[in-house]
Amino acid sequence: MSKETVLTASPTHVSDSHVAELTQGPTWFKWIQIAGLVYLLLVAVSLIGGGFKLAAGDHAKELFAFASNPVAGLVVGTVATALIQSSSTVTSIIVGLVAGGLPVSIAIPMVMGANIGTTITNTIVSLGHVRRGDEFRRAFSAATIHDFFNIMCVLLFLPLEIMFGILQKLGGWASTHLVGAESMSMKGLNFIKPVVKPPVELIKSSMANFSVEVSGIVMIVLGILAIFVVITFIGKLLKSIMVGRSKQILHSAVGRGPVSGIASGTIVTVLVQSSSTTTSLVVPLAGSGVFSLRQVYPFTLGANIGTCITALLAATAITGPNAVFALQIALVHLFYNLLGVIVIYSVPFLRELPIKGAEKLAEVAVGNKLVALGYIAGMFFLVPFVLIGISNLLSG
Amino acid sequence: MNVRRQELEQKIEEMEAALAKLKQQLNLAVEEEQHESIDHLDEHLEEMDHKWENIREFWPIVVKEFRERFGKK
Repeated sequence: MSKETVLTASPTHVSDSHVAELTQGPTWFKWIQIAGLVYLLLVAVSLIGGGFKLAAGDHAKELFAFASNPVAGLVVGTVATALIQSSSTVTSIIVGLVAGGLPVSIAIPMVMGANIGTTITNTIVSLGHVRRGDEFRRAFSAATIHDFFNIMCVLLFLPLEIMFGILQKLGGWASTHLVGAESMSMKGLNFIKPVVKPPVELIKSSMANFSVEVSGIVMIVLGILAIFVVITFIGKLLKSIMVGRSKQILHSAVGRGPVSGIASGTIVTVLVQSSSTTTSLVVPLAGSGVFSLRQVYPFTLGANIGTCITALLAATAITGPNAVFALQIALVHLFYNLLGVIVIYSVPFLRELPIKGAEKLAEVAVGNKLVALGYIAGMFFLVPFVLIGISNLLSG
Repeated sequence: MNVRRQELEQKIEEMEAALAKLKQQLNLAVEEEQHESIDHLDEHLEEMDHKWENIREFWPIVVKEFRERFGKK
């Protein structure tokens, strides 16, 4: 997330100077700051879960009835992520909501949408090359290959999910084994609860004068704001600390083939905790012509896998009966991205489609910049809402 | 086997070996370029921080193109 994003999108007005202050200083101090921010992330997710439980009570499902249509869920995830420009933030919020009672089946399309929404960032980065024709063509295709891949993932897995609930079952099976069906408390991660609970209880008790619903809503809003700020700052800090390590990883992946590319994309994304940073990084590398589209493609796919770490981390904050569902949605995110890479990249015909799509679109966009603008506006905002309209019409 | 044919086969082998060597050299040159580009990762990361400026730069180009295509002639 850029400084500009923080300035324009953050309701808390995290200023440039705040970011600069935070990202300066010795490395050990930055690590302490990161540890503090991770703690805040856990508190924030817990806050959303607790707040949603208070505000919605037993009516969480009814509250999200509008998103029970999978297309609507997909659109919510896409548009929210495109506006916030951070899939980690959106997936962490979704984990919190699931902890508060949002059904996993409603949350799954939202998570899929978050994957699509996050690709807007690297597309915007590619616009920086617009004045140089060939460079723009290469940069734009390197950015949109991620879009095409993520759309293909949705086209493949969303119908399967609607018909058979494969990801939900897979996530449910894995989370039950990890959390333990009886106690519903994370095996080996029980230390999280006593650490996270006090600030959540403090906030809850400080709102004793308000109604339960108001307290819940305030907790949700605080949690969302905290996640936004925390992920912004963590991203900034990790970028400054991990740039050297990221270079090493990329150097070691050069000339080693696609599996190494996927692995390095995954590791770099885990290190910087942001898939949009990783996918934006390849835009200038491909734009200059030094890396080909086929070479950056696996690295981009690795970003999809690496980004799942944040939701998994967020899920560790949840204890109690809903811990198993919070972990389930985080694991669904992981399985979805893993399966997407395995299925699409291992089938030659499917693997070629995002490359062909991105190359064709870039070719057209170089000749007509209005197509590039129309693509961004349509892909992330117009088409999603048209889809909602159509699906609502079809469902009567 | 006549001498002419032997000579041609010999030449093809030599050219193929030379081509393989050139391809290997090209791969090394490309990889060297890639390593150099990775060394500038910090600058590429900074580029991300200016993405809204990219839109500012992109917008007048789109407007100009729109006028050229749909404006009164």
